[in-house]
Amino acid sequence: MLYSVPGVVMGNVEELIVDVKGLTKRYPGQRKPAVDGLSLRIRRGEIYGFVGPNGAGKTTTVKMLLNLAWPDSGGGTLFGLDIVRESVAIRRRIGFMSGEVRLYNSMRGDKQLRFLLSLHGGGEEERVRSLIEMFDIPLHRKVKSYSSGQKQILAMIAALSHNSDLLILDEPTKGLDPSKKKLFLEQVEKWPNHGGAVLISSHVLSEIEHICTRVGFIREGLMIADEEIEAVRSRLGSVIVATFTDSVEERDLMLAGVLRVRRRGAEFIIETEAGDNSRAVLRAVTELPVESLRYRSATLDDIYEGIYLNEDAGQTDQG
Amino acid sequence: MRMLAKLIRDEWVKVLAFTILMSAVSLVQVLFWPNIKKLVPLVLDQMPDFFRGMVGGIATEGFVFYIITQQLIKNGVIFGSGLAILLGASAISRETEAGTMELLLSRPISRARVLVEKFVFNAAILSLPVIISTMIAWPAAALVDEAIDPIALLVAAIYCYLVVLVILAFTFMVGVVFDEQMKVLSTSLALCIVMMLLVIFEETMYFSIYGYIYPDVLRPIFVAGRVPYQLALTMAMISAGFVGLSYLLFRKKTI
Repeated sequence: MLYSVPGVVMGNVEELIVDVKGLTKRYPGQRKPAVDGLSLRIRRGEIYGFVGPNGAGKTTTVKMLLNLAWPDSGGGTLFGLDIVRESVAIRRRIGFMSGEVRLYNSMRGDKQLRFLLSLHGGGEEERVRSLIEMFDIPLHRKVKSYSSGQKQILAMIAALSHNSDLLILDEPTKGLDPSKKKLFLEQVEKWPNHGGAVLISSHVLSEIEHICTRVGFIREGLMIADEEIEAVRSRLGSVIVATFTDSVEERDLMLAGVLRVRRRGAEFIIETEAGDNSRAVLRAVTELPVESLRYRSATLDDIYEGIYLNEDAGQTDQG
Repeated sequence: MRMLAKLIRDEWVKVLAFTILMSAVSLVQVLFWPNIKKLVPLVLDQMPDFFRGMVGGIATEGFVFYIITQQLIKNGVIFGSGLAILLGASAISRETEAGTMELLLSRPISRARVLVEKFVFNAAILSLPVIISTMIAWPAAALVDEAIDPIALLVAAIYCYLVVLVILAFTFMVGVVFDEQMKVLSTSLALCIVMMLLVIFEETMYFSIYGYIYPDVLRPIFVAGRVPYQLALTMAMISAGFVGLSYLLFRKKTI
């Protein structure tokens, strides 16, 4: 617990920007905890993708990191500062954008932005100007006349306008059009260049996978996987989607080198392990009474889907 | 200061409307004094017991007592409480309900600061209509050939404001408990109605906050120039107590 000792936050300890252990939060009247014993470590320079379906506990985790919700148990540090006792000092070093952007509707865009920046001690003027130009936001209009995407952009400009050490973005791309989404993710990707880190949560892995260096999968409050994105990618094999003229069972397709077989209507989705297995599996499948066949490289979404399907299967077995 | 500017921008219409309304009613009441003076002896005998004491006081003690009863009870009980409830209900629960509390608290600003600033700023803007509308009786008295001690009037207005402040602080605390403004408004309004009922009966009068802006408490301010330090301090402490409780409730609240 070296990092919790005041003054000892330099050196390799400082490299660890987020270090929380066993975070648990249960909302009143809920049978299951929203977050259950979650541990998370993010190092300087990382872009951490925090992925999970809606209601998995991503937002509650983010709220606990920002002290917007008190953990029932567990705790930890951000920048070596305690997440409960030193939350103001922590938030001084954080740029945050919520997935459900709520702004003061009666304010004009420019006044809203100035207000939000003033709470952070002011943003970096040049950066604010360039972000406003880049995202082309009508600042002279009242926020209530903004679309949800424009509100999202305004909140995003506020989050990106100061040199924070950690950007926490909770479902940030929701409501953005593809061009703005691309621009935004480009900005996020550059963030660690000046020594910061990023925690970006999403339920759509494909949207953020290309900028993440590490990814954590959460489900029903439990962290079920936490890996370097390259390690995840190295496990990517191929996907064969096939239909057959005669009756074929899933077990017939569980060939050597096959990771998983799923059925979607008449189609069988066959995921292969990484390496040279794909070609052998493809050959074996074509020996069956094939009606149609498509072949592609697997994506992270396939892995993501697989993780949650496995969990579902596990739960069904237990249930 | 940004928070104060924002609060003023959000609440100025409400505060201005109440200041104008309360001041206009005060002015009308003063201007009605010549008629009241003639009318009171005629209607005194037909008054129910509860009102006879008050109206009888007007008949025997004249303009100053009339100002005490009409101005301060009106400003404190009716309009002052109404504004205190409206301001208290919007201070915290409006932000929580609209989701902007998350926006505030995700910035480097402590919950204690948000709470204290919101209470202090709301308390400050509540003082304007209560004190201005009471003080208007001082120059207006000349219009009906009467006079009133402005210092005594100011002391009474400040004291009356401290009583209303308790209602603001209570509503503020309810706003921390409930996220919906309507729930906060109805809870505080219900409490004020109960307190208005309690003040009708002599036995329960001093269980009500309004029992402390009754002529018996206010008369010494005007007649003997006595400042009710003890009561004023009690009111201030009750308000501080509610704000303290608000903080305890707000500290661990999930936003």
